[in-house]
Amino acid sequence: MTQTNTHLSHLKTKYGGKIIEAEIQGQNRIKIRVNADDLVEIMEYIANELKFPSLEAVSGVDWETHFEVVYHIDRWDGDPTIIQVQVKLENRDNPEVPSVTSIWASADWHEREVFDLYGIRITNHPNLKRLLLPEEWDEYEHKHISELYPMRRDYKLPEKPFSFKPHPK
Amino acid sequence: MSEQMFIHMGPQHPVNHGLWTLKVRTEGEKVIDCEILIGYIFRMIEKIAESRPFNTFQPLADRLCYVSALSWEASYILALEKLMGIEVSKRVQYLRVILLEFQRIASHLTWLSAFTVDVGMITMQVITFREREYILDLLEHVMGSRMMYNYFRVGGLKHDIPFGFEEDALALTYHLDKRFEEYTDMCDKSRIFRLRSKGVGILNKEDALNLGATGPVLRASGIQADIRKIEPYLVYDELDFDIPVKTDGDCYSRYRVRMEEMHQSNRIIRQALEKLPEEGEINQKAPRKLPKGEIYFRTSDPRGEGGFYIIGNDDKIPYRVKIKSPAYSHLALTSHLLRGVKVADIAPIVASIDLCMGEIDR
Repeated sequence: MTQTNTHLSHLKTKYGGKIIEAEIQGQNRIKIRVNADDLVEIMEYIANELKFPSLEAVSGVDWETHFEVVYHIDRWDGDPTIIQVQVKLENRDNPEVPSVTSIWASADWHEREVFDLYGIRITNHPNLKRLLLPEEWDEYEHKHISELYPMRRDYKLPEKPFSFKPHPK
Repeated sequence: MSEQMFIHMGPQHPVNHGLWTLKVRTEGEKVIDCEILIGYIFRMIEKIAESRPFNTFQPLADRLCYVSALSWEASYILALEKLMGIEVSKRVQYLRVILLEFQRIASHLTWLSAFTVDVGMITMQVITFREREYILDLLEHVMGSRMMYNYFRVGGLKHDIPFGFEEDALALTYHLDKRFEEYTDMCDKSRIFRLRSKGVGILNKEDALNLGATGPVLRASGIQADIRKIEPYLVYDELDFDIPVKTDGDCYSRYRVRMEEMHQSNRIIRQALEKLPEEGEINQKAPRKLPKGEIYFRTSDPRGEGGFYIIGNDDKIPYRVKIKSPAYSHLALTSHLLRGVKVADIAPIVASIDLCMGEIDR
């Protein structure tokens, strides 16, 4: 039994009911799907009990009907397993996912990027503001809400270049 | 005690190599808090990757980092090959290893030049560029371009190597080995260099993991981890090399780790040149479409661990391309390193983590 299988069986015995879907992809990628409400609890277990000390990346995916946030978690002790945790966000108008910055400090910028480019709200984030786009991006002249979050699939480039016109206060 | 002061470093400032802003709050000489602003060259490369056929994105993958273009290109191509399930010939794999290791040395030499200037050794700035130029000449001979190569293909390489490459490459590795000893002497025997790098910007083991450090920064903090050993890609499992590791976690350790990595790269190149098969298909046919599925593929970039998360949707245009940049995580952890240090130490700390704004802003 490889290490990857061991990690997966530990996860399944502990959180069997809360993990919606679990499979091994390729040789050493564990892919699990959880609900946004159980995310922090399961992530804490992965970090502290399974000893995965490092968060690699947080990516948003726009599936047109719903959003998905994908976490890649890694351990650096010679075991090549990566746990890929996926959270499906059904509510397209107000997508929300809890922050994991309390577990991995590296999540800070990754989560800000997801908020910045996809408009997915990260609850309990210590410093949630735009990172790659200008901080006052929301005050630019936009025609539609989809122009606020450029990585969404329905984003369309405006015909003329952006102009900075702050709202009168 | 004394009153607080704000210092803006950037977007154009000698400290930050590239365009980003460091806002520092100081009390006397001490840094109390800092904030980092990025996004000055945000080009939305991920969106561009999702709106065009996968093979036409490759030149842009080069432009993610202007210092080590080849390693990003390789990362993208290898991820696609893994997703499609293509196995390229041994000759191609060995050639890729040789070129990637040369690229790693060239990138580390650029870093050494920038770092030594920031710690106050202006002499080294030009000297490392002399050796880098030899490497770039060799790479130009193979690929026709000095920095933006666009040479790897899904299924192989654009064309075979030119006549006489093996001899040139072998001679260059011996030349470089001699020069690296000279650099080590110059740096280690310089009192200014030691004073300004030893014990500065200490990152301990737990913080390094928790803050997402990878590559040389992680290895300088005492964790012997490298993707080339953990999850070997190409033919790294057939080659014999060591992963240098240091335990102090300061700027000096990061410098030592990179210097030893360059030696190891030379070792890898020499072995690969010896084992390079004479025959092998250089560019085999690749499918036009990406299969349905997803992959998270990581390679050992000179800066750390570069990764691509690609979702294919049975189309020639990838559905999602996420670029995981090591320098992005490293810049984020800089604000942790800077808290509590003297203002004069900002320059060596920022330089020691090897930033490249092209891949941070994307």
